Amino acid sequence: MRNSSHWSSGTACSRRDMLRQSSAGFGSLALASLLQDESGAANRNDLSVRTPHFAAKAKRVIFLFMHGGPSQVDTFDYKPQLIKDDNKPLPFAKPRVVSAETFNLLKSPFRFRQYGDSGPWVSEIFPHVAKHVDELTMIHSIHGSNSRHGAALLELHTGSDTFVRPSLGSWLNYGLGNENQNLPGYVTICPSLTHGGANNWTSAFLPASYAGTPIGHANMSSQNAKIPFIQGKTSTERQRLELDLLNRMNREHMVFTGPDSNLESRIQSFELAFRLQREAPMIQDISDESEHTLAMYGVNADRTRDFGLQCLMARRFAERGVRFIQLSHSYKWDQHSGLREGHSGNALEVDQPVSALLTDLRERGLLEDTLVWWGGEFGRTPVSQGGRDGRDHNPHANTMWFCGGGMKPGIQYGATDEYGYYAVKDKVHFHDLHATILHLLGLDHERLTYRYAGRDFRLTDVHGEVVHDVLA
Amino acid sequence: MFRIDGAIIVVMIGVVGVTSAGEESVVTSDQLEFFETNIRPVLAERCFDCHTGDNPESDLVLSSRAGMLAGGKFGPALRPGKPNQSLLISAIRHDEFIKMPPKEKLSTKDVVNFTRWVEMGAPWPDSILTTPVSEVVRTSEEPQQFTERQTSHWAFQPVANPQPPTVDSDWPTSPIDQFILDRLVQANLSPAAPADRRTLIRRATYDLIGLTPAPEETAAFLTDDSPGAFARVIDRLLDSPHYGEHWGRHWLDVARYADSNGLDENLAYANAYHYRDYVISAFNADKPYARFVQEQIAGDLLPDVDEKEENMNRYIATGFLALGPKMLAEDDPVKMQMDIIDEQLNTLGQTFIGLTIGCARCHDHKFDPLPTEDYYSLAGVFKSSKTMENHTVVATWYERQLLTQMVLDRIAKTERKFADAQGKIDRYAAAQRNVIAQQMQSQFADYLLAASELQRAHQQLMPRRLALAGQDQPFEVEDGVAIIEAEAFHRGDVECHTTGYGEGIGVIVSRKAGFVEFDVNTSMAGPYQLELRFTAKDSRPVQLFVNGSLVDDAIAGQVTGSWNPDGQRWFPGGRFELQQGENTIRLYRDGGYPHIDRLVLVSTESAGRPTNAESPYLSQIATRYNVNLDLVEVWRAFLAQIRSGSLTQFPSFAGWLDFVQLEQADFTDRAAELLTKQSGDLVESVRQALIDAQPQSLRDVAAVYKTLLTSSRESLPKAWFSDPSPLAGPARLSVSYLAGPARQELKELYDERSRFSAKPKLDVAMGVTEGNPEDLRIHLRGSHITLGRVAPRRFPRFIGGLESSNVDPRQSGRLQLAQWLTHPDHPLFWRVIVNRVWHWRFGRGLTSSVDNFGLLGQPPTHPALLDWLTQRFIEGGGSLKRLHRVMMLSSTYQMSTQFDEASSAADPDNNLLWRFRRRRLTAEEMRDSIIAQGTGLDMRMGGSLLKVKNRKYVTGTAGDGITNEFINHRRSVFLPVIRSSVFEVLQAFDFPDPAVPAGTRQTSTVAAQALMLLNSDLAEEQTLAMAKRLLDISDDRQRVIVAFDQALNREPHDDEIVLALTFVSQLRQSIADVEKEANLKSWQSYCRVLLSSNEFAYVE
Repeated sequence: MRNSSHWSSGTACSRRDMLRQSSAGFGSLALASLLQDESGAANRNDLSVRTPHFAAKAKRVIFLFMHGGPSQVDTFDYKPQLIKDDNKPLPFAKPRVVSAETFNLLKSPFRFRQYGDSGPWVSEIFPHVAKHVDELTMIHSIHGSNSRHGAALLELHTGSDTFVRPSLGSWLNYGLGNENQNLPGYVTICPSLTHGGANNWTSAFLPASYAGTPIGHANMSSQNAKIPFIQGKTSTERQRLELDLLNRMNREHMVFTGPDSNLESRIQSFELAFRLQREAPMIQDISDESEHTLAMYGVNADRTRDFGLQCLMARRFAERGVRFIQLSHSYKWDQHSGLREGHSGNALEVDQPVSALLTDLRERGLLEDTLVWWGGEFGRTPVSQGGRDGRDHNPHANTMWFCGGGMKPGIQYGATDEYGYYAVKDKVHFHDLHATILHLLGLDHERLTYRYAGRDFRLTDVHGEVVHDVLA
Repeated sequence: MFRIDGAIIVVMIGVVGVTSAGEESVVTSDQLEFFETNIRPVLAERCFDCHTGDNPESDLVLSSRAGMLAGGKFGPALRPGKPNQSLLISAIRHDEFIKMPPKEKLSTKDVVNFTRWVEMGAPWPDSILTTPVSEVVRTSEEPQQFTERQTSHWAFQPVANPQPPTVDSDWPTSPIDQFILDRLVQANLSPAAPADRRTLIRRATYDLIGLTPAPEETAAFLTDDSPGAFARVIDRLLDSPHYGEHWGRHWLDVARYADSNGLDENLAYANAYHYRDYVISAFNADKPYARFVQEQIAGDLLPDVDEKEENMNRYIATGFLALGPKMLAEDDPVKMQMDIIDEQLNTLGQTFIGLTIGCARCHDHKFDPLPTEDYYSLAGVFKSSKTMENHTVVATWYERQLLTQMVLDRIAKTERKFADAQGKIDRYAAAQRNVIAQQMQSQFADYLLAASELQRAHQQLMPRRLALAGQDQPFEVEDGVAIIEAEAFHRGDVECHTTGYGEGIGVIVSRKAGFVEFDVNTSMAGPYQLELRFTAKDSRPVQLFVNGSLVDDAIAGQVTGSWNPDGQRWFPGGRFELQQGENTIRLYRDGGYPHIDRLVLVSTESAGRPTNAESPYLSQIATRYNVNLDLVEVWRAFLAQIRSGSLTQFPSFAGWLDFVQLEQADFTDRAAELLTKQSGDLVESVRQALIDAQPQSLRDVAAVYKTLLTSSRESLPKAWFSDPSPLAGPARLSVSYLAGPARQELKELYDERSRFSAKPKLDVAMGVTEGNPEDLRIHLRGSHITLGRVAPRRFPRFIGGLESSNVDPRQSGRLQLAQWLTHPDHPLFWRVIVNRVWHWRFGRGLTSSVDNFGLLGQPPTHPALLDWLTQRFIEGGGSLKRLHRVMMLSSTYQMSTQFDEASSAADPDNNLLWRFRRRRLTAEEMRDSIIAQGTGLDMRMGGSLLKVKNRKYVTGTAGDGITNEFINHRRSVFLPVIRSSVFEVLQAFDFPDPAVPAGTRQTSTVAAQALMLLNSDLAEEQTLAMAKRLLDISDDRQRVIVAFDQALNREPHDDEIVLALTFVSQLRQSIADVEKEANLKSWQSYCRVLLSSNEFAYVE
């Protein structure tokens, strides 16, 4: 029945014959000449490495996300006045919008002491991270706009607490491309499916190839986390034979269709998938790590195993050039009550692994061009809840710290008021933070735009200023 | 006819103002705009709090230019033209001793703007010199300042009726082709050869119903040589119910349809599916487009028709406005509401008229003629409509019951039967109540004494130390008593509050229907009494079940006057048998709960014993006096009320309570004392009788009361025999008050009633309804904190005629909005949908920016064709099916995808359509086709597959999300769409983000797609099923032929057959040693290759 169709047009047949006779076979025959892209349009899924706007300090980001909202005044923002005025009423107004009723001032249940040559005060619950203070850049004046987890997560990840927008990691991959064609450029390990879920790693209107690839989710141990569809029931050998046949059929098909970059990309995508499913599990297979390394990350101890493994995976992804790696210590930091036990337990689970990651990156020379970023979606109130053993959400003050990647080491930037309720000095909004991170990776946040629905969108919308004072 | 308002353009408008010190002059429109955009909002937001009003800070008034010039304690704040000498500027720069605003510096941009404004001479429109900012921003008479570019934009012009160009060719079969060919000829291009019939039927079938043609359908078309064969294929497909499934899905993309909220609190929209089913049936019924849209905006306001179902459908249609993503946990309710309205406006604008209305929320639209005022005029329409029940955290959206006639009839019938049964109960209860009243009167003395003993037992029990039990262990009955903290329940869906309502005590609370269950262990079977401590402002009786049986229909219905802990009181909750070992106490209410703090179970056999040797066993009280213990409880409660002072009409019973207090040792003396001292509390006849009797014990006193009742009843107060006195009978009849046959009879009556008490399941749909009509004020910079002047409800003026200006102030204006949008002369509404259909049909719109027809949108490649089609569409009554037919019967649609090097070089994007565009299957087509090749599709239509209950979280705090919903063989359009957790198979193939309208879909080619085909459970299951079916055919060659026919709609070439058979046999050999069923597995591999192939994945 193909007689009357374009399938049997003379040209196609002769091409077909030519190909059939070619001893080189389909695999090696260069179709390039036939593949002048039919559309000529820019390939919207281009993952190739692109030149940044200016010289970059960092090549990649590891975001250690503390979901729930760690309390700044119990971790890294030391407030002696809060200790003095414990249980007194707050002497100034609470914000116009709050998420729940709060009571009198509550001093931290934890002791603080000074560390390092630079001398910042750190809570006793972070003894390991505290050893790195001379290399950390602490920003005490981070603030966002929303006091609810969902909105705050979205604003932190995408810059908008109202709309679905591309996440920071997606913008970075859109701006810079992917250094390892066998791996996704943006992975998020064990993310929470709530409080926005995939909207926190979505590419939104950016092409889908820039979306974060979730590896597992918050409800599973990081040991079992996998990239979707990465393993099936088919043996590698059988799959290889399938792919060889598929390639051959697809190549023959293209003889009839003529050049088409989409069809060509699809052929390539199967090969990429094949490589990906070999390489990705290798990153998660840590059998080649030394006992010393495993012990350092706490992979062998119950409380630190889960996040330790995440941190170790982060290093392994970083080594292979993945652009944006997010880890989640998921939704554990929300201590409206049980602050003492909750925060000390949470810190116990992350302190040693995070410290190990910093040490390991430094020893491997990766810290220079890797920006390590620790923080949550908001801070907490210095006033109490939960029978004086808890604190409410507080988007007005939030301490985050950074290490490596072109940040100025050993400094403390910005400040909150004497109780740590509001950022007051050198305030850094999420937009400013985003602008600064893009800057470190060589991107101008005002120039990194994408045309969608009739206007040019950017991560920082119409806001954001690079915080030059924290740059090395 | 629509009129372009901006035809009256004022390029330079003059407003009297002040530009330099004191001199009157003209403020240019540019300056005015600069001031209103950059200066006034900042002043209002950041300065006015302190620097306006009667007592401004430092005596400085910043709400007028005069105020700035006059200055305050530190001298003039402003020197026009001289920023460096203006205190205002140095203060906002924070570079001198005065730093303003004190807490948070203005942004750099604001500082620059203020500096520029002072440089300009600080222009400030004079007419509003002293008027607060909230009153006036722009006068309403002032014409809109639309630019020439805006008013002459192609999309805002009336739809033309162009003549198809004449072309010298026999290629055209439709006027469409004349338009297309005309452009091709001009560009020196020629159309590709026609597609062959196999290609054509595959293309048409995918395009109209989203599936491959069945082999017999292909065969029929190939052998049909009569004229009109293809038209008949099109008609068959348009008549198929699957047409609505496929094209309805296109619409659901732009309606950003989903079955969950997404964003922060991802709650189930379990009733959203009604909207999806409505869309599918509207497409199948070819509902006229204008009507379809009117229903979605204002279906609830359209005049009712006779068919109830049709009216229901219109309510359902308004789900379009309701099912957007919402920030349900937003602490600021005003912001939440405005965000929801903004989402509605954005969707409405993009979906129906291709305008990005949302841009005008914070400032006048930068490109399109949409001033902020018009945004708030439209927003007022939705502010006046009700989308939400409330805006608290977590907010509740509005839903409407769908009362179809059938359901209404069913409800009426059930209610009638229920009322009949209730009537029987009431009549029986009235009769029994009299019987009981008689019994209480004849045993008056016994009841008085028994009630007093029961009260003593209570007093001894209640103050005992209460131990909190663990939640995973059953509560233990010890010493005949189990004390249960309500919030330590074992199972339930109520909330526990330990702050607020539960401050200091911990209570269970529920705003909606809920249950709670407690496990109780006892070593001692027997009768128990339940006591509850709770508080309630309204009566909220709950049902009590013990070990699965309903014990009481309504306990804890009492009202204490408060919801707060201070209102907590103890109440009896019924009596029942517990078995030895584990028991379950269950409370249920179809609505909110009283705030229950604590429950106590008391064994009526043994309780009280351990604390006081004299205290009675509860059940012995009943035995001793030969009375019904539940009726004793009625007495006890009655007397307790008198003791608490809340019943004053029973002085003689209050007197009785005084005797109860006396000790037996000196009873006679103390009783005599009481009788002389305290005449006020006793009715005189009672007092006299007691004095005469000289009682020596409480029993004697009781006997006097009893004697009075029998001998001189008429001398007693009437209150004794009226409610709530138990002598008039118990207020509510309980089964436990009765014995023998009467008990059995009442139980049977209750059973009868309960058969009709179940409410019929009512379908509920999301949607909107009318709210309180009101106009909104302009929100300066989009902030609801800084409000400007009122923006009366009306529709965008650049495109409006007279009909746009009159929104009935008593209504929301939605109906008028729907009429305005769908007006036959609307230049955008019709073009947008015709262009969408062209896009879905040809892979790219005539205007490629399908959701944006504004100035930043793409101009159409064939403007005349777009208008020609639009005119035909309007004239044809907005029939989409007719539009499909017109497009598909053109030669343009029937071209092949044949590549041509020269044409490709001249028009690489194929903008002029020199060939048909090859397209990849959509996500749904991909999944549906794979299943169709394997197990076959389950073709049932409609309904919901979502297993999560309405308003429940679809993804837990750290949960897995949902998966069971997707393991089935239904068409993909019926799978739930979970925002922020879209089914991964569909997500892999570019299913659009369901949070925003999507007129186009991306076609990405990413490794995840290949991984899905290679490794997913779906691919594994379906390729195995396909291979099994092939193995039913005995001949190997025939298997390959059948597989090609079904999957690729063509016959394989000989060499393709050889290739297939070689592959299968080699694979079979190589895996024979390691895998079972090597033959099946090898064919499965072959099937996987076929379904992964480019030829399968693309439509030519």
